Amino acid sequence: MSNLRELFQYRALLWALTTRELRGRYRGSLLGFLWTFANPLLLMSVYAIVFGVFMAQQLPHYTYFMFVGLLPWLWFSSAVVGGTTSLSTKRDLLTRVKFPPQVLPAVVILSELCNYLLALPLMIGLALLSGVVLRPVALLFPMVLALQALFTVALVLATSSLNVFYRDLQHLLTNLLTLWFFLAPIIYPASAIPARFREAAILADPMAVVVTSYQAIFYYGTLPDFRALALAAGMSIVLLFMALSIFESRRDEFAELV
Amino acid sequence: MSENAIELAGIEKSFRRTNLAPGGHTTFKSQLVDWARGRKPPPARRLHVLRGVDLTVPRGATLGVVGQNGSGKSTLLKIMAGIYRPTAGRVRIDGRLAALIELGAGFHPEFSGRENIYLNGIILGRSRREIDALIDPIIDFSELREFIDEPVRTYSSGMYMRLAFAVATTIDPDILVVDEILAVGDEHFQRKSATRIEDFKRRGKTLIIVTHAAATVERWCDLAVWLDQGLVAARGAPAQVLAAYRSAIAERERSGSVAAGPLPPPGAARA
Repeated sequence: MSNLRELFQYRALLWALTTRELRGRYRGSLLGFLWTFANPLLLMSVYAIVFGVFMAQQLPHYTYFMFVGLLPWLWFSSAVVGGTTSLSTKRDLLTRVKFPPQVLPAVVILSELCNYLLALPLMIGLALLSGVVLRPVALLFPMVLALQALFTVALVLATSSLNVFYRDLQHLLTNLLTLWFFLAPIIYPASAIPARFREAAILADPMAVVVTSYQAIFYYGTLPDFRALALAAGMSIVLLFMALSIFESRRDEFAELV
Repeated sequence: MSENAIELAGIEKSFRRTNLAPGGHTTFKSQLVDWARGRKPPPARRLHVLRGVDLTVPRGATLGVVGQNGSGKSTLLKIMAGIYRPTAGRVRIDGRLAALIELGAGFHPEFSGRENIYLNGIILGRSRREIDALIDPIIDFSELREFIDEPVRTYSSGMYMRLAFAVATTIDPDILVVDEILAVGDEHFQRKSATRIEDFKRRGKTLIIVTHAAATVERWCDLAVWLDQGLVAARGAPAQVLAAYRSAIAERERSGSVAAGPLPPPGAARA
């Protein structure tokens, strides 16, 4: 836990690095801001064309449905990819000053979170365009977001510290994320999973719980499955404690091995 | 504040050796493959760099650390700076400490000089507003105004060093730890840095200098330590320590054993 407390102590550093990251990305202009969405938008148009037109899904407002799950997934996957290498690529910082290492993955998660939040107006705009009515359950958004943040922090703390020791982890993870993306009901509804494994497939995967919860509150306008959310939160907390112990046991060696 | 700026007691430091030869684990793949074959990892070999260093630096003193390559000088500095945690022993640092190690000050290569000044200032515990007040003196001292908004990865090593020196000394730490940095820069900048260091000393700050240049120790230091194979071989007045160090080197050169081979494990009889 001392790692998390220290993160709070260094919040000025965390804040400075995060705003710097975002400023660098947006270059202070609307165009720069839009440019950062070029990649996800392109990706989404691919899925929208493939699954909305070619292999047309039965789902109404399919593009909006996909947006609801894909945006948080992009936050998750870019945080995992960027966060995993956040320590192993910062030799200059870690070997020359006393630097709190947990700040580095946290900066990645935070700046990707900002990206996600800034993309939400796009999603809401699309909802309005498609004629989907947002229900009051959408106000549960912060709860789902908090769960996703918890899970992401836990996972990235572990992978970032392990990547200092096993540099091939980052490549392995990139591929695993692709697999994970297709296994989680993001571009298809959970009902497309055969009923036999549906529950197990979702409950075993905190990201599937997160995505289906977003879909519940933003797309279906129903309450999320609180039982599943609680289970995912429990799994994330267990993972967080494991990740913190991995991080703690290895952090002394970051400066020696990066 | 206590009268000592730095107190080190029984400092030991060993490093895990990363072996890329078969049997070493630097990838997840190799770890998995060996694990799947039921192969036991070879016992981790460790390099013992510091083997019980006791050192006290009184507040306001300037300490010079000398020693051959591989004697553990830089490791000791990094332990003082809090970059490494010692394997054993106790470190007590009293005051704000800035370090100039390996000709750098913890810069982010992609950030501009200006952004790195803020980054460093915040790491050293200054607030944004305090740095706002210091930024112009820093830029002026480094003589990099023209390049200050360019990423530091485009800087030459001299520019990098000048900025690092300007930040570390302007941010006004209580303790400054420098590794061979006084020798960098042209004559003009060296003179400027010397004035800055003089001033630093006059204001009762503590300075630790690691160097191979005996002249640096003679000129600046009130105290010296000779580090040999991870142990303090001599400490005291710079002249005496340097004399002992020089004669030992001369002796080793005569007997042809200057390059100290692999270190014997701690506790083994020393030649």
